[in-house]
Amino acid sequence: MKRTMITWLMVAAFLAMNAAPAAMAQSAVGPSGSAGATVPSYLEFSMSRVVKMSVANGDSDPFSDGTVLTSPSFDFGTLVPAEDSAGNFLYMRGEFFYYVLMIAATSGRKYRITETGSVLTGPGGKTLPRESVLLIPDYQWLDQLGGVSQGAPPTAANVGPVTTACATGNLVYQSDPGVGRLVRAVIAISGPPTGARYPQNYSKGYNGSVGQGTKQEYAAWKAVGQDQTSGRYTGTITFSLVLY
Amino acid sequence: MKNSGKKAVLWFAAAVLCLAFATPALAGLRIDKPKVRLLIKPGSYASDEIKVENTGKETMAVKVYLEDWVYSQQDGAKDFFPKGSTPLSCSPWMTFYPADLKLEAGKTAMVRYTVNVPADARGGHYCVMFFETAGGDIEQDTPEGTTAFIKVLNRVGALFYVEAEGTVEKKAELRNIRINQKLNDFIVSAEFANTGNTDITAQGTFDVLDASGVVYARGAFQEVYTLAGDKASLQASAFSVNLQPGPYDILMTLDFQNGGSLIQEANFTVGARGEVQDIRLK
Repeated sequence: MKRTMITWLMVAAFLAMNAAPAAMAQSAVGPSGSAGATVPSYLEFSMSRVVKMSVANGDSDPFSDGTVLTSPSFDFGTLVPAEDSAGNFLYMRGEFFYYVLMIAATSGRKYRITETGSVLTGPGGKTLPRESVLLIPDYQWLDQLGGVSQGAPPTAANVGPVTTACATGNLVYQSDPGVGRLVRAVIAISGPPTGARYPQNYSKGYNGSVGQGTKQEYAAWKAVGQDQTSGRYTGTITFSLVLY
Repeated sequence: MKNSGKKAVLWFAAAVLCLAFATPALAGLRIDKPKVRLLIKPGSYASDEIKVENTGKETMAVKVYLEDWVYSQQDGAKDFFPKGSTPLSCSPWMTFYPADLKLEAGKTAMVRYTVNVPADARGGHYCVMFFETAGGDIEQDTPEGTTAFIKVLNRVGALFYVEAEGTVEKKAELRNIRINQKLNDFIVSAEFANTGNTDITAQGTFDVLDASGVVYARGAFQEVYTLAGDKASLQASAFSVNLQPGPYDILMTLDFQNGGSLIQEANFTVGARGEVQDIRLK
């Protein structure tokens, strides 16, 4: 009876995955009736959601604010001046910033998500300052997977530090063991998103209210100045997932 | 055992159901061979396939291409380089088809590859086959002022480890062994040198014994990843240990992933003030 239930659960799982049962090697052997299952080895990288967040609207939560995109490209809009409370110019920033929500599934194997980005290049080969385009890896314990909070990252897992997005091989997240988790990456131009403090994060993410682990600050960020040549600046960002 | 097996199956099924009922991703790619290790005779070749699946909800263009990789850190982190640009690259040996795919949601395709190993190849060589989704462009007006636009790409890599059969030398040495006692911690460190011609991922332990074989301290070295010629730093600690003055032996055992091991013995003396001296390899 119990074995029948197990079998139906397995079949239901495969039907729900839209995967052929033959994709998994399965055996049931021996007089004891014990069941064995071989978990297939695969690597899956999902960009579960890209959310365009408006600075003007004060967007901060990618699940309740902003606009969910159907095309994974970032349009920061016209760069606008950010001013302090006295109206003094601080720096130019994008009208929008972006949340990329990623999930890795690795059959339990150690994995690493990295980001590589080109310098944004505009008219006449002019570039935005490399340090003005920010990558802010973000792990939230309360983000849900399968309807429940994902909780703390695995013991030996690490969230990458805030850094320029225009560099090679920036760490977003590494997991050991390879437990699939939802990881966020914020991409912003010239300064932290609205409501955020100075560009920083924590190596073990946020438990819902405060950062956990080592505080990681990016002290080298640069503003886009008012004298930046006007025009359209373009570049690419690539998120990579590989096993160890 | 019987019950735990059933529980494991139930948990697995439940986990799969949870994942399956999650909202489909904006863009999702799955491959069935994230690591490919091949042993091929020099002057010969091998072929196989990698299955690619679009797990997202939209039709997706997938670009397939090769790059090289090396370990950037001993913890297994990798740096990627253009195809054929690193000394231990195997990407020039590889051909594959197709290089461009269009996958409808939920559909799969096979990418067939062949690895031709040159007759003079020796040891291990490496590359990665990336499967990359192309981000769409956003049309926009040309507003006055400065605008910024970034295309975002998403890729998964199948790592290739290709070894020339009959030429592989899996060798390593432990060098510069250092032993310290600090407060109540006993710390062992050493340099792990990959002196062979293939990659070695190693993990291991140390045991400190006296002449009668009594074990006084044990510790575990972290996992290190090396290619031929790489060096890595090993460190392990045993806590709440304070060795009394006298002679001791230390036995360091490192197991290599995919077979092989390194065993190194040394002796040392703990002096009257707890200092470790006269470390000698056996």
